[in-house]
Amino acid sequence: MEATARPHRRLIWKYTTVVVALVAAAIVSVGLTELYFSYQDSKRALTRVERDKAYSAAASIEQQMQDVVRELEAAAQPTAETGMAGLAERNQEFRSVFGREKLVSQLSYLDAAGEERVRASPLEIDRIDSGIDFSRSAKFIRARTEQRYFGRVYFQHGSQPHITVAVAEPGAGGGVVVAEIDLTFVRQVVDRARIGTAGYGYAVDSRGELITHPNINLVLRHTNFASLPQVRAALRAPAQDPAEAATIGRDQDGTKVLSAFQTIESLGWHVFVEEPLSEAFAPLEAAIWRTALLLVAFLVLAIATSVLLARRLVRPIESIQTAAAKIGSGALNQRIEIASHDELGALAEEFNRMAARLQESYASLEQKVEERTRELATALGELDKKGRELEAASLHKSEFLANMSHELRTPLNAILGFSQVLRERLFGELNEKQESYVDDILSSGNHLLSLINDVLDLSKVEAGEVELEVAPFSLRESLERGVVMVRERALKDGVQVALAAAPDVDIVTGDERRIRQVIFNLLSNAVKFTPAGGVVDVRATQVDGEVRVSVADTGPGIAPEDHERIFEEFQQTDAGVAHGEGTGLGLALSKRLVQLHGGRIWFDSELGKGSTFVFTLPARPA
Amino acid sequence: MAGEQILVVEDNEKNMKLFRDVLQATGYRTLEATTGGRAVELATEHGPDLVLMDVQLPDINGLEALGRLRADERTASIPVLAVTAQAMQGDRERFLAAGFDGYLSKPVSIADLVATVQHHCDGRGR
Repeated sequence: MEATARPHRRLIWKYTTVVVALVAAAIVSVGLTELYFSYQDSKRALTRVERDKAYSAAASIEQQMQDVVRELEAAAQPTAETGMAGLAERNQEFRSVFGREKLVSQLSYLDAAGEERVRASPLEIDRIDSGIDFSRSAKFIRARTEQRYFGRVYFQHGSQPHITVAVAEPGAGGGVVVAEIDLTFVRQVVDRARIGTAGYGYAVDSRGELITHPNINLVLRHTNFASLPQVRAALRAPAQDPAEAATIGRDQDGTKVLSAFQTIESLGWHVFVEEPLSEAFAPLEAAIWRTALLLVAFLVLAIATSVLLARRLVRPIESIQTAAAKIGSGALNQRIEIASHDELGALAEEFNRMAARLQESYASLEQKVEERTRELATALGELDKKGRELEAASLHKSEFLANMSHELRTPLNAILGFSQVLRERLFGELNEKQESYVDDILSSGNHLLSLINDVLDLSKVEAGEVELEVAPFSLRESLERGVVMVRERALKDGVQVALAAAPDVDIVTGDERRIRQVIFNLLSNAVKFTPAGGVVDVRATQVDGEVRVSVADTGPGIAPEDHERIFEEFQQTDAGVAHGEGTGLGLALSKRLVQLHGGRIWFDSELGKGSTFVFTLPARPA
Repeated sequence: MAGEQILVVEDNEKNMKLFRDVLQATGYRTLEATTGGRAVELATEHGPDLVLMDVQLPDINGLEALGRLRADERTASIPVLAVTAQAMQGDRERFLAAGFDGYLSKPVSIADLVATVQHHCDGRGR
């Protein structure tokens, strides 16, 4: 089960990962691009706003200051009167300036020698001809040389910013008009330039020192902002294009700010409008959050979609796999159910076709096996039947042979019996002719009997029905008996029979009756074919673990062309046929009997010199 | 010759003639039966000294006839010789085991027949 689940999971994760990665990449790239552009847009828009504010503040300040300077230039015209009258006139003039210009808090006139001649203020008593020497002061010297002088900002009553402005009287030997200008309006103007909630404006002079700042303490301490990057840049390049005057700087606390400035040319001041980046880009941050939220949402959607898709894709594959496994384990009737018409459907179809073919061939195989088994069973049955038939046939054959033997012996009994009765002259004498006839009947009957016996024996041997009655017996005695049995015939024929058995030849193991049958057959053959005066020589020796019996005669010998068939059934040599006796079965039977004993039988013969038949028996010590 | 009575059981006419003539010529009296049933009757009736029994007979065979003779007290002790054309290997042993007192296979040697009959008659407690 685990083995089938694992590839399924892997496939799903593969598909899911790919889809999620694609979706995430798309969203992130789109989001980042959008963020970048909205950042640029926001920055540009904010910068423009800041710059505009800085510009308008600077313009407002410059305008007012120029108004003041124009009043001062008007007041710096030489008086019509001279002496004290002139001073009074000037004082009168100063008073009218106070009425027109609220920013001027004090006016004084220094004569060409730098001594104060008139001092007027809306809140104080005017002092005429005080004679205080200002000839060494910067306002006097620089106004005389540069026509105009702007001093440093200073604070009256602790917190009211003021600036000293001096204007020279035209013409050589003229004096200098000095005015103290209340700069409270600058703070108001700059404060109005602030943007947002955390934004603020401030102004610095040409050295970077604060003129106004929302934090009044910084101004009072004469804090120099020249160390701030945006201020340093403004001071270094006062002629900078205002469009590029926006930058990201830092405030005195190090917080990043979006900064824009405008220079007031006549004063050498710079008006800065700034906003902390955190606030400036707050909308941008919202956009980032929105994008991030969208990213997460789309990722979740992508995962869900891809899992669903992968499932849908994987399920058919899985079912194909399951079915394949079932078919593989032998369930050939298994089919895959797939409704889709895509490649998977085609695959499943092919798979089903394959399974069907497999099933079909398997079924036909089984059928063939069944057929063959049936055929085999039939054949076996037939074989069994044949075997039984053969057995029956063999039984029939035995019965037939027994019957035949019985039916032949019954008339033979009468033939031989009556012949013997006649021969024995039981019922009277026979003449010579009659006696010879009776002899012929007897010998023919006996021949017939031996023929019957041989045929029966041979057919039994052939049928494998001969069972040797194996027991130890004396071969020497059997040989002697055989010799005795043929001796009468041999004597009659004038043939000498000699037996020579080696001393170590005596007891052997075998069927005594059958061995005697063989010995008698060979001996009677030898006697039969040996002419008068001949010799039949019987010898028995033990050679190489076997007993060898040889019967040699001095008969006509066997023609080479007869050698092959001499041991075959019903084969007789011409000599044998001429003798008119013998069945042609004796040697065939002898050969089989010897072979049954595990022995061999053969002969050596030469035409005209005789034959020697030899058989062997395995020597088994008693 | 002692003139013992011998029952010859033989269904073949010629063989019957041979055995009868030889036995009579040799000095025996003969009884003749051509069936097993008749043989048992004659044996019971006459109590012969010896029975020469053919085996293959028209009605009951020689073995059964022997069984009946042995079963009857009157005939149980009469010696019975099997004289049969059943001369296949093992037949001799088979008949002797069945209870026959002797076995002669056909064709019978006349000399053997006479000698065997003589032997059984002589051995019959005389």
